[in-house]
Amino acid sequence: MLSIQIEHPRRSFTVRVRLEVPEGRVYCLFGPSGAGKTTILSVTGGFELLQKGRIVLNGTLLAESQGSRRFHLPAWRRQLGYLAQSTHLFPHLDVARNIVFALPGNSMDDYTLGLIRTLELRDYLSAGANTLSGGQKQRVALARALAARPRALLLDEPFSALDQPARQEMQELLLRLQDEYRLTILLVTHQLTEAQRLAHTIGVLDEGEILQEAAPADLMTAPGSVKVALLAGYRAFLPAAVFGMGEGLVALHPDRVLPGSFPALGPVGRAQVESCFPYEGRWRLGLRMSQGPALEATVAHGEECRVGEEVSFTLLSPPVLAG
Amino acid sequence: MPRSKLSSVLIAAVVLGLLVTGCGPAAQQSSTKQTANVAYAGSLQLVNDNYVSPAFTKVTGLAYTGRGGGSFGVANLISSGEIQPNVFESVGNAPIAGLEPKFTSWSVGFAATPLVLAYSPQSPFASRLKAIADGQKPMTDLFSLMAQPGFHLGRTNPETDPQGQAFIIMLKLAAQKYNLPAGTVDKIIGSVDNPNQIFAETALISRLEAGQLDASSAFLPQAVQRKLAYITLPDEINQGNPALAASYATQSVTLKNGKSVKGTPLVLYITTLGGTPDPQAGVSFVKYLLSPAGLKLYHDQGYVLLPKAVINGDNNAIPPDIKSELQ
Amino acid sequence: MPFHRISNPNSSSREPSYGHILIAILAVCTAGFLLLPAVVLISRTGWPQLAADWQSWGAAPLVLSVATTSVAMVVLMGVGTPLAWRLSQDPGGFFRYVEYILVIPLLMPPLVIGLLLVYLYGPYSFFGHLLAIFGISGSNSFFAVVLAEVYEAAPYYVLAALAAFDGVDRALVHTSYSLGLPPGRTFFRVTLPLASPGLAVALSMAWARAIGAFGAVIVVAYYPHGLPVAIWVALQERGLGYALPLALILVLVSLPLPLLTVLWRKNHVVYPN
Repeated sequence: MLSIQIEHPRRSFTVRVRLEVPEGRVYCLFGPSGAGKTTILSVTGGFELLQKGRIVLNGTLLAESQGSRRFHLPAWRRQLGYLAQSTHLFPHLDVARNIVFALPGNSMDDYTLGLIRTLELRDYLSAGANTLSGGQKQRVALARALAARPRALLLDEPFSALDQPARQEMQELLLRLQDEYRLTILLVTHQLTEAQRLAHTIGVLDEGEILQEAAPADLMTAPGSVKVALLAGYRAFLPAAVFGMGEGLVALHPDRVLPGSFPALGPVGRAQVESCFPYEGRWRLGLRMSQGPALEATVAHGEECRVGEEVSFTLLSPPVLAG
Repeated sequence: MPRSKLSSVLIAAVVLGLLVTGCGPAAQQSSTKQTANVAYAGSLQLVNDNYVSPAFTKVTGLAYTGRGGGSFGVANLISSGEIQPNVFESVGNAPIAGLEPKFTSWSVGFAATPLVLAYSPQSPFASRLKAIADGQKPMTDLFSLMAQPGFHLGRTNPETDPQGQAFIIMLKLAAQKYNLPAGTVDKIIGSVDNPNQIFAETALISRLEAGQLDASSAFLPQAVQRKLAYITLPDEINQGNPALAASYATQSVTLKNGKSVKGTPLVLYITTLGGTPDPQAGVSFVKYLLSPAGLKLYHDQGYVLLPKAVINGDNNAIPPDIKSELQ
Repeated sequence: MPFHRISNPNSSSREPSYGHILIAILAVCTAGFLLLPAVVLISRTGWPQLAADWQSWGAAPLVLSVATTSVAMVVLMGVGTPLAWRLSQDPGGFFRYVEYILVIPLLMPPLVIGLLLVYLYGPYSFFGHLLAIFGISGSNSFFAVVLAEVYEAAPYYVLAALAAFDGVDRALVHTSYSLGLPPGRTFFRVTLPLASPGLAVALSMAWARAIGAFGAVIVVAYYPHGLPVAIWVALQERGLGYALPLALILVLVSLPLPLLTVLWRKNHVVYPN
């Protein structure tokens, strides 16, 4: 288990977090850019000094700075794998030598061969590091980091520089590896879909503080606050009274507003269709209620786009947040 | 538009550059018309550059440039055409004689630069050297002192510098005069080209001043100008008295190329050189130098003025301006 | 007169402009200006003369120069490389000033450097006494020549090596740490290989500077004659005609290392597999 407790002042705020990554599980720090995610990874990795706090990995103290107790285990003794957004492959070594960099005698063992097979790098072993595509480079970096048998992996938005297909491929690969090797992973991302796909637990980070820790599903159905709901993709907040749901605000997410009336699924309302536009594989409707508030709904067919019409809509178990 | 602006800037820069470089040589031309271009033995740099030059320029309105070096080395540069001074001032007449008859046919000796032995007050031998300088100990002590192992003596390259040659001759004259034990001279200098003792002219006195030499050969004016502690050597060995020329000539030093150089009085000889730009300015310089005002400047810097100028070579070739100063 | 558009839209000029022509002329003139002394040297040196001089008295200074400069290079690589590396690592406090102070010998006339070395290494100086214990002289000796060459070439080597180390991406060093390699092994497996092209340039610059060192060498070590001092003495003793062949030998001996470095870099050999 990787246990992190950090208090680290930055330019406009202080990063103050306390989190635990259980062994063999994926914890995802999710939040907007500049929230302090990289700082946490950097301090955990040993590249920045811990100002105040305590970091323990599987019972081994990595760093401590509390009162008079000061301890800092150098980065090269922490057995933490690290992957960053921009791959840092050694340009003077080919792929094979990059991968076995950390291994004694630079020799490939069965474990490493297994990694190479899973990551489909067999055909690229003698290629120069600069001849690969972004996705291939990250696969090599992953193989290299795992070949060193780290006790946990720190991933700093490793796939955000890749295009969509490559990113999805990498996510699948990572899942497969995590499952096969029971990797303990602390992943940082600003993409909600990535967090949802990869994490067992998501920690929502904003301005240095963890606002909420939850499983991906729970985060969507029960965001703890307006801030978290916004980060989770909730776009509109209406007084709960509009739907007869008591006090507070009801949070609306376009993917959780169905056109049509299905009282069994949640509160129903009526609104006029103002606009309609394609959104990835679906369509989004812009609705406006007679009382004034605007919201969005998601439909599967373009035929259901009837601008100007008045339609019913159902909210799927919307969360109610304190105002 | 940026491109045409870039072009005009470049054109302007090139034109300006041409103007500057074009003006350079032109300016050079105009200045050499009025410049005394003096080449001299290195030890004369201070007196010429710092004292004679400003006075000369003030009195005559002509410009002055000077360059120094080992006398023979400078003569070599002149004869190969590398430099074209209109005045050459050397220690001893031999360097000038090497330039005859192509560049000149006469020279005037006007002051002597006798050898002294400069020493460092920081030397472990300083107290004994001072005693000799003050006359409390006999001169013979000096030579046994210098012959001791561990005595760091410095001198210049006899192959290229008259001072280097004169120093060895001085030791030989001393051995003769004082009946020094046989082999003393060899013990003192090691060999004519002893690498342990020979230093570049520019560096020699600096080494002494830095306290890294016990003693060094020097000309009296050098010692005076740089305020060094020194031991005065008697006329018989210091080669500073033209009247003793015959006795100086009894000793000689043999160089690497087999040439043998005889002792001569260490007299400053000066001449103007032919075939050089602006010869008249050169004549004016020599005239000023040989005038009472110029000679006084040399005297104040430690040079021993000869009671009567020594004339070598063709008397009739001396320009009348200069001749008038010799009366 | 029609100018053809070059199809690459990214080239800075779509058609030759006055600016480009002017720069080309300027560049050619400058190159010519810089190369003229070499042309004179080669044309005025008689080749039979060169061979004869080599036999009689050119060989000894050459051998000495190559020997002293080789030793100086070993010294510089040994002490200068760690210093340059240390300076490239986020210099704080003391080492920041070291970098500034290093520039001073660069700006000092070599003659002055030589005179200062006399103070430090002459027979009656602190180091002079130290060296005397080992029977080494800091004046007019092989050691003295190496000493003067090291002092003259050191700033060139250290500052160029520093630039080479600066060019190594810090992220790669951190990556190596994260893979478990401590700083020492990281230096030899990551930093040094990536800095080698730059270090090679530094070495060849230092070589050229050291083998041609004159101002400090002639003060500290008039003997034994390396090539530069031999040229000077030949000039004084015998004249230009005898000095030029030695100068040509000096140039020929100084060239190989820098030339090799240029060729090496041009072939983009970052790290030989």
